[in-house]
Amino acid sequence: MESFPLSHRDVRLCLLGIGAGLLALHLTLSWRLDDDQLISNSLLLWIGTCYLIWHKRSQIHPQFDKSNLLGLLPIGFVLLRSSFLPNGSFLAVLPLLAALGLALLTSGFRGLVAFWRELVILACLALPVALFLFVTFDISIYTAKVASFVLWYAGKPLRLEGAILYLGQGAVNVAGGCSGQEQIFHLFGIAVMACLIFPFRRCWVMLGVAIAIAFVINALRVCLMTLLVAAGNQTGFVYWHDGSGSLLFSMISVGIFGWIYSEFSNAGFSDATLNDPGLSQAELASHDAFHEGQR
Amino acid sequence: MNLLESNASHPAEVEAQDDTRPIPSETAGANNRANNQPLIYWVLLWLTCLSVVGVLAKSLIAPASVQRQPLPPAQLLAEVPLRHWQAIDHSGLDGRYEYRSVGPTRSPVNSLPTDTPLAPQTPTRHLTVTVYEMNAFTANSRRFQRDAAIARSFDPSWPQVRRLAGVGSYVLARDRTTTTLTACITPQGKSVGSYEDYLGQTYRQQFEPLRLLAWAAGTGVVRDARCLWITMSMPQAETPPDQAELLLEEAWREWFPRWKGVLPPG
Repeated sequence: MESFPLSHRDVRLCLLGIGAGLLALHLTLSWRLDDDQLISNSLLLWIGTCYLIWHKRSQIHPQFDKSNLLGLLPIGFVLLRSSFLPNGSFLAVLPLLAALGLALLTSGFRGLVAFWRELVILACLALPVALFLFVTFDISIYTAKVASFVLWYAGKPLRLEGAILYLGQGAVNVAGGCSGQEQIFHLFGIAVMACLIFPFRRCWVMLGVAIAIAFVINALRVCLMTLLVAAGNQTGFVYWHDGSGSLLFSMISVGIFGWIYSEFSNAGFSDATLNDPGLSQAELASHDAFHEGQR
Repeated sequence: MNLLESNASHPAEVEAQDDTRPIPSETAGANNRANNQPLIYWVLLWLTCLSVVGVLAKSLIAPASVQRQPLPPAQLLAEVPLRHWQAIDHSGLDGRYEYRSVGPTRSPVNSLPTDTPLAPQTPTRHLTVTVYEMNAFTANSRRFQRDAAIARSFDPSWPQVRRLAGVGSYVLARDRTTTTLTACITPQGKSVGSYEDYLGQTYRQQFEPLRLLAWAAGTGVVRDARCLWITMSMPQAETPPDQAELLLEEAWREWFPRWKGVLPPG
């Protein structure tokens, strides 16, 4: 095979161009879809992925073998679909396919192993689509139950029928966007990203914590919307249901999760260095030096 | 190792090892060192890069419409004539159809068991049908299933889900005031009355290679979870439940073929 002199930097620049282009393409299409949840989630997960790649940038040395050619398949598919028939479910899968193609293009199958963290983070965006294909679950009824419990505890005379909350002259049907599934996936993705970027011992427990936080915060949003409907405030209902208000609740749940995560990671890191054999010697050394400095 | 010079791929490990690295100029020199790669790799990378830039430019200058869900909506029928029933409300656009019986009160076509008490003669019977397109079997429709199961627990002989050959399943339920027949018509033209039947219908789709190809081509969805939820009800004040069930089934046999194509496959 004819060879061509190329520096690693040239190849890396080319790969960077492809990656940046695919990222820009995804964000452009997501913006056109006008799905705030998808845009915010995508931005966050892309930032996490770029952060990981930035940290290993000097260690990436692309090498060609035949398996690199396989990377053209997902990238070609992404480009074709983006050109002609992009839709919501495709945009959720696009980052994973793009990353898969780019990893293969960089170093073939070895690229998949080297970039597994980045692939897992971007897979979180495709998780709702994949779960919808293979699992059917509807948490609306449980969201409605928790919301009705909170309202009942607050002394509101409400009636619950299935997933419908009746309060005064108003009623709220908890379904689809109200159920909290989107918020759960959103926070779950953030939790996975946090565990991969800032790991600590048993940080995977935080995945469950993320699901619980998203569920409870959304149930509180449903309570608020029920109160607004009972008061006849339709504008307020629309704001908290579809408008910026719904994103505000997402921000609150992310903030709470971030705070809990940082608290646990601060507490958990010292245990991890002493007990976790999985940590590298370099990490142990830097940790010891840190404590030396503190003394 | 070609891809990564060390096994450290995590930021924490990388940062820790950065301290022990050679001076930056040496690293930079290694990075810029010419490395013989096959020409095809170079061509491959440049072509991919140009394609990505091209598609990105197209999406900025002449974007394709980004669809949320490429599924054709159901077109509700404006009028649905039924034998022995006269339509009294044509508000089919909101999915509600009202009928009253034609002529004198008649017995159902199917013969009733001899011990079935006949309804007192009433001038007319009324039938109300509601049609609603659902994105999935929601919690509320499942609640209906649960209510039907509770009703059955009071009367074990009363069947909850019934099936018609070539049509599918449906549910008959009764409460204090009405007798109801409900079923969901899937885009595949099957009637499903239970959640299990619904799952059977929708999960079977995703293993069809053609459906996966259609999704890949952007012309379809892998799993079309929609269904057309239909509820037929008769007030018990006019028709006793046993007779109403037979009349509802008779109406359903006529109703189903007219509606099974209304929800086009995705």
